[in-house]
Amino acid sequence: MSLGFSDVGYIYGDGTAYATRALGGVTLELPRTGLTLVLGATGSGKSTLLRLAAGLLLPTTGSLTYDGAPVTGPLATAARPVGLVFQSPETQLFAETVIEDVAFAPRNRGRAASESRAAAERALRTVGLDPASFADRSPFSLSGGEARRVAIAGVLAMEPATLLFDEPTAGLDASGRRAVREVVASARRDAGVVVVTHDAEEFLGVADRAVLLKDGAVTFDGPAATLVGEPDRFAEAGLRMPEVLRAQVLAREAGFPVERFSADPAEAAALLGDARGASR
Amino acid sequence: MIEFAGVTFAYPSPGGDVVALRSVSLSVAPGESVAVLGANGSGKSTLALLANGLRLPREGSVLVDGMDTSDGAHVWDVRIRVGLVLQNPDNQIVATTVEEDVAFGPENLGVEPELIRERVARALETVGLGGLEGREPHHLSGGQRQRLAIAGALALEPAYLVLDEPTAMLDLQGRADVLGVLDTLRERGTGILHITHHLADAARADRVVVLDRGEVALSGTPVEVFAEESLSSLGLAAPPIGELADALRAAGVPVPAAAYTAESVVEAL
Ligand SMILES: Nc1ncnc2c1ncn2[C@@H]1O[C@H](COP(=O)(O)OP(=O)(O)OP(=O)(O)O)[C@@H](O)[C@H]1O
Ligand SMILES: Nc1ncnc2c1ncn2[C@@H]1O[C@H](COP(=O)(O)OP(=O)(O)OP(=O)(O)O)[C@@H](O)[C@H]1O
Ligand SMILES: [Mg+2]
Ligand SMILES: [Mg+2]
Repeated sequence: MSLGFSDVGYIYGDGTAYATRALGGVTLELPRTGLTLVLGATGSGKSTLLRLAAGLLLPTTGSLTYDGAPVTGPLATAARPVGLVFQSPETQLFAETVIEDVAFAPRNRGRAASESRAAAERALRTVGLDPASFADRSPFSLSGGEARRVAIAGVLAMEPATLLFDEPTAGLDASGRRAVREVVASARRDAGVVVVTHDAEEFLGVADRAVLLKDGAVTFDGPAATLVGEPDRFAEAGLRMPEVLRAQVLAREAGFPVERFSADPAEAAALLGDARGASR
Repeated sequence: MIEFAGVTFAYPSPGGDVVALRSVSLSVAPGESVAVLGANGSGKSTLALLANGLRLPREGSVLVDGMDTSDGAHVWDVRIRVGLVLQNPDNQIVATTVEEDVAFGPENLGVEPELIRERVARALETVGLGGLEGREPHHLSGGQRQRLAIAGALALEPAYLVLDEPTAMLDLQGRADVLGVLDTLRERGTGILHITHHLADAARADRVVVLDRGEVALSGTPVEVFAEESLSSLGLAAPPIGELADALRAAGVPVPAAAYTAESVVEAL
């Protein structure tokens, strides 16, 4: 286990008139490798959970450990660094040029300039940005999707041992979404990866585990495959089901003998095709 | 009507101008909804900024109900007519409470205080932010800030609404709710320009325009546009439900084209 949440609660503005409880009683263990999806409605506490996991916020109640030690501050520079891609990428970009922004982490860790630049160029290519066109641009004059790609590249260049993504596909086009899915699928082999997303469909097929949050509390924590098999869990967390699953549930409700559910479109089509054949 | 006629726009940049739009012509009529699709950096947000005069064309013209946005005399009238929801909701926050933030637009238009209160309450209810009136906008979650930006535009009750990826940070239910609101507005005669990366959302529009590196690459009804072979080379891909529908169709189930809802798939079974 790498990150351990033990009965964690978080209240913004604790003790003030504006106190807002964002999380309560969250107990979770995130393994050292593998992909965990965190799903939940608007305001359910997902971004707060990631800020806590990155050590940017400290729990109001309960406790948090990373590799067994209590978390007392930001984990970006820990021995096994934790990288967080923010929900609003603009809040993450800071340098004068894209390349300086992305090369910041390796530079900061004492890597040579040329080595850092090479790492940054690699990271840019991974997210589908050509360094030749983007390296010298200002990170503040980019389109929304370009800015998100740069923010992701900056975190990849950190080579984090734990990678936290907050809505990584929001605002990305099809190729950007594919690139993120590939990054996530390959990173989870030797890093712990957490993806917060409203785009469950994009990741359910590759996820190991899913956590559902509702009003700051965990309503489901288990294998992603279990969630796919029990789609009522979505409604339980105040969520609408992904469309591919909803098609299978509606078909079963309409009397088709749908044997089981799948999050994969091709497999789902085969299951629905079989159900249609069987009902004729 | 919003009319783009041969519009070219470029951002001055240290390394040379970045041309964001090239000879773009398109229109949005009252009561019509037009979806704009396109890869990252294809010029969608630039188009949105030009639609209400926040940016002015380098060549060509943008007319709003006949008024040229480049004509200084019309700046105010154009802003009143064209409500804009920016891609980044943080760029739209102007006040220190949710309620004041939504009231800001109508106050500027000189709407009566009594009416403003009604409009604000209605707009916040519509986007599901009722109960958060006193909260500070910067202390909201991402999705809540996006809903706030939409509420601000709704409270203006503009003749045209331009929305730049208004559902990018919303959960599926929130997304469905916003699309429902847009349908209602369209029925009431509002002209809608909806920028999105979701083909399923664009499928609900009357017309779809696809931008490619600043140029209009495709335009037509959703069924026409989604049948184009070139779609994937323009950076667009069907949503998973569309892949499911395609696979069923290949297996002989008569699923209609551009069937991007669970209902249309089950119907076909
Ligand atoms: N302020 C700016 N200065 C210089 N170039 C810019 C600026 N804003 C955008 N651009 C460039 O103009 C082009 C079009 O950008 P625009 O924001 O319109 O794209 P978009 O279609 O909205 O993309 P996205 O889907 O990523 O939001 C891009 O190449 C972008 O890098
Ligand atoms: N800086 C802040 N100050 C006060 N309250 C906050 C702050 N940030 C978030 N909140 C509140 O805490 C709760 C959880 O917010 P959080 O940002 O974690 O939600 P989320 O699940 O990420 O939502 P979204 O899907 O909209 O991004 C919400 O009620 C929100 O309004
Ligand atoms: Mg969030
Ligand atoms: Mg944009």
